[in-house]
Amino acid sequence: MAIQHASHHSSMTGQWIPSTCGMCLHGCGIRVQVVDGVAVKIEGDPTNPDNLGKLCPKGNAGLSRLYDPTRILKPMKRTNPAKGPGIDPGWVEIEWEEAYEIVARELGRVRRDDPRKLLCAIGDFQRIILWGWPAVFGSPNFFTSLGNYCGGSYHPVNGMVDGSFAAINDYAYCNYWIQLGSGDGFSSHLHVSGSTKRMADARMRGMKVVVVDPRCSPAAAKADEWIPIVPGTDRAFVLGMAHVLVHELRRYDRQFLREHTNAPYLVGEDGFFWRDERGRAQVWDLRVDAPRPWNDVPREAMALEGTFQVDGHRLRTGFQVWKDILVDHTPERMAEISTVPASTIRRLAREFVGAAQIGATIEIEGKVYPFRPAALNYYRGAQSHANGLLDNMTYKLFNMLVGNIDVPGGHLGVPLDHRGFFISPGEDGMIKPEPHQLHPIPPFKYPPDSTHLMEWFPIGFDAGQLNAETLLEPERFGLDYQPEVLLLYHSNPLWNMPETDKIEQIMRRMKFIVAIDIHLTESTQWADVFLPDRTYLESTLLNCLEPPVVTGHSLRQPVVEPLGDTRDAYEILTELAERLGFLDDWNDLLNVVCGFVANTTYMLDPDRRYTVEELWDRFARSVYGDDRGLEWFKRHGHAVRYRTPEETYMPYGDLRIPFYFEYVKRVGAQLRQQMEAAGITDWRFDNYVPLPFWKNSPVIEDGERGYDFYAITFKEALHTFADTVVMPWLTEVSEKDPVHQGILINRATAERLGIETGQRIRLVSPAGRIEGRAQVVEGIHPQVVGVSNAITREYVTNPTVRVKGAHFNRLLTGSMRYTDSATGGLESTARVRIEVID
Amino acid sequence: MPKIHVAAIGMARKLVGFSQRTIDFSGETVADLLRALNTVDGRTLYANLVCEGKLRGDYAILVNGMSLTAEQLETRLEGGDEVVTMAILRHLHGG
Amino acid sequence: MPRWGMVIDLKRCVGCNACTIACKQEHGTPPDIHFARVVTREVGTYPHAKRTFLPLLCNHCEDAPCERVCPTGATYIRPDGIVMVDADKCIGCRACAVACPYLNRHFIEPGLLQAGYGGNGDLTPFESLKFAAFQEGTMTKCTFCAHRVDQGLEPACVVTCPTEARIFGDLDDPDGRLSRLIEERKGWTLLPECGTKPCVYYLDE
Repeated sequence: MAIQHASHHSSMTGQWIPSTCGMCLHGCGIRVQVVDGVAVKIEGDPTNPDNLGKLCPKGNAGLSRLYDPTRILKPMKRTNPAKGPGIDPGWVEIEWEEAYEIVARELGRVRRDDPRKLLCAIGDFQRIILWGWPAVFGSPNFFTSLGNYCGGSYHPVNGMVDGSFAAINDYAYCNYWIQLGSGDGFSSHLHVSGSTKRMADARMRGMKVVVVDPRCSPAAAKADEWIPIVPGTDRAFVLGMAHVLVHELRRYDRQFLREHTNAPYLVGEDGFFWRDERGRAQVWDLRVDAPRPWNDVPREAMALEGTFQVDGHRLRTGFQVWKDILVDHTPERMAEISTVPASTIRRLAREFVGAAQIGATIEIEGKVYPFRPAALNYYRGAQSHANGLLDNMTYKLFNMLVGNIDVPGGHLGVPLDHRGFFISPGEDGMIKPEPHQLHPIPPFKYPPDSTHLMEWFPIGFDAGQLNAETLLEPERFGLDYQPEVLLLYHSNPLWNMPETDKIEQIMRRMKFIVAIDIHLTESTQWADVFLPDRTYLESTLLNCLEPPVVTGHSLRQPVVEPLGDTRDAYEILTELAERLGFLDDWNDLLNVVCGFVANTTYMLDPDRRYTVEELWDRFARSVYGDDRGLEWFKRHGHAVRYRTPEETYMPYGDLRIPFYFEYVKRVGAQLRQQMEAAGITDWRFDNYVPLPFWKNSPVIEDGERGYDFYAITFKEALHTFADTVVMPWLTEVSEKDPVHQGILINRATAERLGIETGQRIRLVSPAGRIEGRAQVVEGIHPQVVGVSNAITREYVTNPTVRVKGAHFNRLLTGSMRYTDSATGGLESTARVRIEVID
Repeated sequence: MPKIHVAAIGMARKLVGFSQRTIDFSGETVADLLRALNTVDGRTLYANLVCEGKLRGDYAILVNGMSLTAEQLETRLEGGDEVVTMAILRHLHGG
Repeated sequence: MPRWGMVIDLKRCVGCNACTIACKQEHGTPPDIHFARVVTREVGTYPHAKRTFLPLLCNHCEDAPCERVCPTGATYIRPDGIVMVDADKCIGCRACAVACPYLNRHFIEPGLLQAGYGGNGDLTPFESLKFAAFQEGTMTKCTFCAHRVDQGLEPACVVTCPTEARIFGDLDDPDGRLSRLIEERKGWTLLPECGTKPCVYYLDE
């Protein structure tokens, strides 16, 4: 009897309902088998090209969330006014009417007083269309590290380079893949199920993988080479490789740089572009040995490099400026900083540029593209640091040196959603910089409106960690109000933010806290009213987030009758909007974020209440046509397809991408003027630079204060987001893996300090301290200790799951000093001392 | 007379007093349209949204789904066009 | 008549444990029982250290010691090679668990089916449905998802594996994928010295 191909892998009995996984933010396609109203199996949807029928361990554990006995299934209110860890809230179940009344009364009072007094923590990625609710309420605040813990500097730079939100190397064509501080293709980040398949296929066809990471992650374990590195020094390593390409091998893609970037643009001594009397950027015209407007000179005649004298002014091309910066970024100096040997830096640079095949082309579906099958990929570990802007710039520029941006084999931008790249003509023949794809940044304002100083980061992200400083020292920032009410919507600030003690202080000041969630957590246990949401297996939405290879939406639909007395978060927020008197504005916000303003046929009537199904039916039809509404999606599950080569490669066309980030410098100069006019004298502008270079971060400098080790956190495939860390199906497996059993410490280091596996140790950073069980391993840098997210929760409601309590984020600092001055990106590494607890 | 479909979002909606309306339009440009739309304060949408010939920074205008720049108010309109005037919510959040 | 077997490609495997949880889900096994699981180990010394991932499951041995020692015939081998347990005949003597060199036999302790993962003494609707297939005081084990195989489908662990590291098929088909892979990549079995003749083969990294 023949075995059917995997595309028919679902067991025949029962009804299989297509839907979308909600265990991480990315939403792989699933099918759920339901027998007599009970969901009994979740499998990957084989028809969805995103995950090709595969499903990671978290997706396979979804039923244990749906049927989790510790879920909150009815609204509750607190009867014990005392709040804090270990304090019994005295929960009493109430009806929805009473719950809504209380919440609307408290939020209404604040709204009439000053709507900014609402602090908001929102962590529900797949319901991204709802994130503007606080804005409509009137609050600009952001009380979570979400998005910034990994993407604070990443997203702005991706947006400025090619209108993308994320990035990945070309699985299909890459031959040489260097990866820094990322689990892409092995354990985490973009669309894990499909990505690990694509990575495995690429490795099997011979792609070489080099993984740079302070510890032997799953990626490092599978790589052809694991390069250990000091956390936060990946940029030094790559600058060293760039030095090798530019100054030693002199091999780089001159044609790409000249044709597709602003590298040839002339820069004056002040660091700004050299412009003519009409304000046009100039290039050096080799035919006449003089500066000419960029659009008056054929590409072949533009100088890529050089220093020129014009009327007593010293001009250099943007490329020349970086070339000069790179002179002293020798492999030897970078090796001292990163501990990656200089010989390795040289060898990898040589291998990389060789594999890149500069000058090669490839024909795909009848069109010829540049072919550059070598690329550098990176994520949180390599750039979520105090100089994250410079980290991200470095990695992009290194890729640009071999001309691989958005070409077959190379480093590809990943759009935020189905709308693709945000590319439009900007100034000087360049693309328009798009650092903000989630929401526009308000103009500079003093005093600031937002507690996280959003108005002071013109190219930045939402720096939620700054709340720890601004709310406890408001006079320093001119903040003229104090928040009183907190909305926790699928967010756990006491777990996801740095400086937990300060977050707790802030939460203590709240007069009222409302939680929209499924579980009690470190944070939601502080709520005055708990409004129970539905799990992803009981709710409706269309999802398309950061798809690396595909595009199109996947439907999430209820597979069983919702359990208990819960409501969909959309319904909850809409009900509150109506009771608070802004239903019309809420509907208008949805008109904007759902794109109905681009086709008014689907616009919501502001005064009507729409059900969650009505909303998503409109959305589906507005994007896919009237014959593909919600009913079509319920049958087919998704409209996901592969992106075409035209959609994937060279989306910038004839527009130039930034090599020299003059835009960043200009924005910084403008901000400086605005701040001086407002009388702010102690703000930093040090990262508003046009090109990256090496400088120490405060974490590195903390070494001089006796904090001699680096502490990092990490995750692997079993656990992402706080709520997966306490699911028993997953924890009973992760607890068996040594890397999730304690604080990882290098064997040689442990021997030197007299530490053995099982001993209790304490990590002390400038900001806080944690305790845990030592786990001696080979696979970590001798100067580094590692704390898996699996051991970080301090509060667990399921009695079969042990609390490990090594809450890593207590070690991190949320202050401006440890924050990237241009992007607001936070520092995800801490310097620590190790103490042995007797 | 050509018909233009006009939609208004947020504060723009509150100014003109409607969310969507198809109107008979005798003018030629977007600026003409804004002058033809009365607002609840006794003025016109043009007076509220335009400053020195340019669209105010806290508003956006879409014509058939395409966003205009602040200087593109002389964009010509044709019968059947869809114009959306919207107040920009600067504090929208995403992740 | 096929002779079912599996090939596990250790070069593809990334140790994610999707197989572990898919199996948990497919069978609804009680707490701490895993038919499929992944063992990880460090090899080498820093900086030349690596983690290795070894997915394990029942080897459905041709010469299964568990079948040989079973006093009641509860453990039996199907004609297609799948080693099964008839719980009605099992007396829970655990001779099979002692005999199996691979720790692939699992005893269902009395009381284990009363309390599920919630720790609150109740079973979830999922657990109520799934635990009904088990009997306390008997042995249980990986069945190569015989209930799926009999419908022409692949085992749950195979289907979910994101990297396609698990291949299921007929070992006796000379042109089949398994035979080719075993030959080309020199597939090996676990503890061959025990003489069990496993039907699960591993391909080196």
